[in-house]
Amino acid sequence: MKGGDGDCYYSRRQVHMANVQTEVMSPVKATRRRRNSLQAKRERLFYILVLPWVIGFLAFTLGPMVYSLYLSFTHWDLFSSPRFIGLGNYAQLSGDPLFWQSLRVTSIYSIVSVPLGLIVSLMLAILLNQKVKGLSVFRTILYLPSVVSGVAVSTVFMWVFNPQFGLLNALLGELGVKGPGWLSDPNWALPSLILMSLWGVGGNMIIFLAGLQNIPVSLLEAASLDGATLWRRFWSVTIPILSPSILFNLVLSIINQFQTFTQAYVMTNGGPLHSTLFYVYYLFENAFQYLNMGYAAALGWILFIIILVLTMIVLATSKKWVFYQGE
Amino acid sequence: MKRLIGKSGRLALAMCSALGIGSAFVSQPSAFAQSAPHITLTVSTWDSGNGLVAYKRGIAYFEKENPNIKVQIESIPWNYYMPKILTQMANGSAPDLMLVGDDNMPAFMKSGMISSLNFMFTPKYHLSVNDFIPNSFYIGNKPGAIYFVPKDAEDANVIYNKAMFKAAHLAFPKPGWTWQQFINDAKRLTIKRSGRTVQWGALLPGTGLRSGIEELANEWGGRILSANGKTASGYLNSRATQNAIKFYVNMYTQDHISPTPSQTASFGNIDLFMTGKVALEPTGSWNLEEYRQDPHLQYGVVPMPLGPTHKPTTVTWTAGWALYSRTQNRDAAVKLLRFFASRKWASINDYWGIPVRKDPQVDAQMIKQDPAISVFLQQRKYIAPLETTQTMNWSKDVQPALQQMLEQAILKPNSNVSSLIQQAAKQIDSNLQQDYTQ
Repeated sequence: MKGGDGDCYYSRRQVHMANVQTEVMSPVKATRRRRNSLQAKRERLFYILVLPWVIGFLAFTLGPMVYSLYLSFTHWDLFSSPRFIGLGNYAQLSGDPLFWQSLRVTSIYSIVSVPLGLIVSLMLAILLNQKVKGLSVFRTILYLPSVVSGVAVSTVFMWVFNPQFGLLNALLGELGVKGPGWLSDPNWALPSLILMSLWGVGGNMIIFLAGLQNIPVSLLEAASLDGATLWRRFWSVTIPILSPSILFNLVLSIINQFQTFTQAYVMTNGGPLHSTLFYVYYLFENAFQYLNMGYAAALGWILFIIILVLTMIVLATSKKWVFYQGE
Repeated sequence: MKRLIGKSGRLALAMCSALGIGSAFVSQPSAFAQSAPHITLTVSTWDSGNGLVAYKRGIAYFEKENPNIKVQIESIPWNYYMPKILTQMANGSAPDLMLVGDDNMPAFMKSGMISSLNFMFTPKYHLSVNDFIPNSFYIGNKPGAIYFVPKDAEDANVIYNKAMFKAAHLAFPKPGWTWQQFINDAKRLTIKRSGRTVQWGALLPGTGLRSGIEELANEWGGRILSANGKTASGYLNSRATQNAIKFYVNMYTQDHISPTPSQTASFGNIDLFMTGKVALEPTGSWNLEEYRQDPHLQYGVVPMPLGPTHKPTTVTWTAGWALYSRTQNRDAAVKLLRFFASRKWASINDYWGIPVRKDPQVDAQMIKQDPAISVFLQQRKYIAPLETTQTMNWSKDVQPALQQMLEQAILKPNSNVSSLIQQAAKQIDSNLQQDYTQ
């Protein structure tokens, strides 16, 4: 009985203590409950707010991507239903001389124009980082071209490059040089477009400029005091601190240049003699001129893989040459 | 919060509807169309500028005559026209009526996406194929297989600048002239200053095949493809066609009477004839209205020069209205098609384009507006069948190979043209074989 009583007593005490604790802890628990409820509401709100983007992403990005992957295994002329042909389109690519030509043109264009664009935009950013009068005017002037639409720029440059009445050959003529046919000469058409690509370096330039303004003056001063020359300060202080911006611009430039289309579409139609047959232009021709939708989808996926691999290579090597100030 | 969720919910619902998720809850459009007093027809065209204005005038008349039908014309720029129509077809939302260019006619006919219009050319509709000029009417259509109500059919003739001829002390060209005379005149009309050509004698179509090698092949008595459109060997590389192609290439590489294709391209959309840079241009009548408005431009029109066969012939550029086979407004669309085929349409439409309908009154009215147009009207009887419409997929199987061959021959003057023609024939045969066996 005692034991029983004792047990009962102990139990009662436990219950009492528990009640006391409940009374003491209840405000905390209530707060926690309120906090949980608030957390749940915030989560709900988060999902509601991201839902439009998720729907948009699924419907307009991921969905079409998955469908285009399926299409790349089919023969489809838009009129009839797609017919599954397995790896037929991919097998056909290897024997298609225009596929290799478009890849060659796009690669040469990218290999030359990406570093050239980065160097020129960095040089311009350094110039615009100087403290001179009317700086904001110069910055505006140099950035402005990059916001002009690609079609408008292409149309203007068709006249700049016009062999008979163009600005470029007129200037060369003043110097006693007979200018080439530019866009009408198969040997000059691609170099002309590479030259024209410099028109849009304003975007990269702004990012470099922001990076340059983040470089602590104390570091440059310290390097100066240690006797570093201008070149040494640029190479050993500016470039390493700017390397995250270089990485960013490099990745975006590779992606953009591999997707070049407007110039070929507006200015050259891929000619003369396929000398400006850019990859995406060839893809467009297959899709909407030859109605080879399946083949065009296969071309699209090959391009996706090429850009993905190049981006991964750049990101993998970036560990060796990109320095973040916090590290 | 409730308000926020409510708003987000409505937004999500709107998006679901836009994406078609909620289509099950939406009333059937066909049932709606049947019960509605008004029908809205959608019509797509690549016409723009004055051509579109003329169309809108004609449509306004039709709407007045048919108050229960509203017509929405969508003008799509030429470069984007086919991609847009094809994608609309792929997702089942093509317009009720659409303009189809001759090079796409065979593929559209085969696709089942457009309806046969044989039923329209019967007494019930007061319409007969005999109302039309057969050479133009049967470019896309075939006897017993009518799919297109022709919009117009431009034939190729040579427009020349009278002032330049006078300045060069040359007599104006006359019907029956030959290609050799064309070259002689063009050479005299080509002017160079300081090593630069400031005026070309002619503007040849470059790698534009229609008024280029297709026209010349006809005049030399050759062909590009077999009559069934399935092979190029034996036709493109026949002696007659080879001679025609070599003659054409020589006009660029030896006679230097025309800017090269890429030189022409470098001028963009500038009209070199109108701006006084060329003296002769084989082309259609589409720019004459603009030329008429330029008081300083004196121009004349003469039929295409004759080739070795001395047989008058010309090519055409044509387009026709097609009826979408899945249209929900078939009766109204047929009514509009019938109107497009009428004389009334031609008169309201300001005589835009060279008509396919036989109608002396319309012709007389057009000549009254511009006497030079009479050459285009007279030459319609010499329009030759288009090889473009005699094969399934000209723009994919034939055109790229021919254009590459021409580009190489013109840009590389030392190239062996015969060898390039053989290669092109082989390539075209391979493409055609692949396409016809698929």
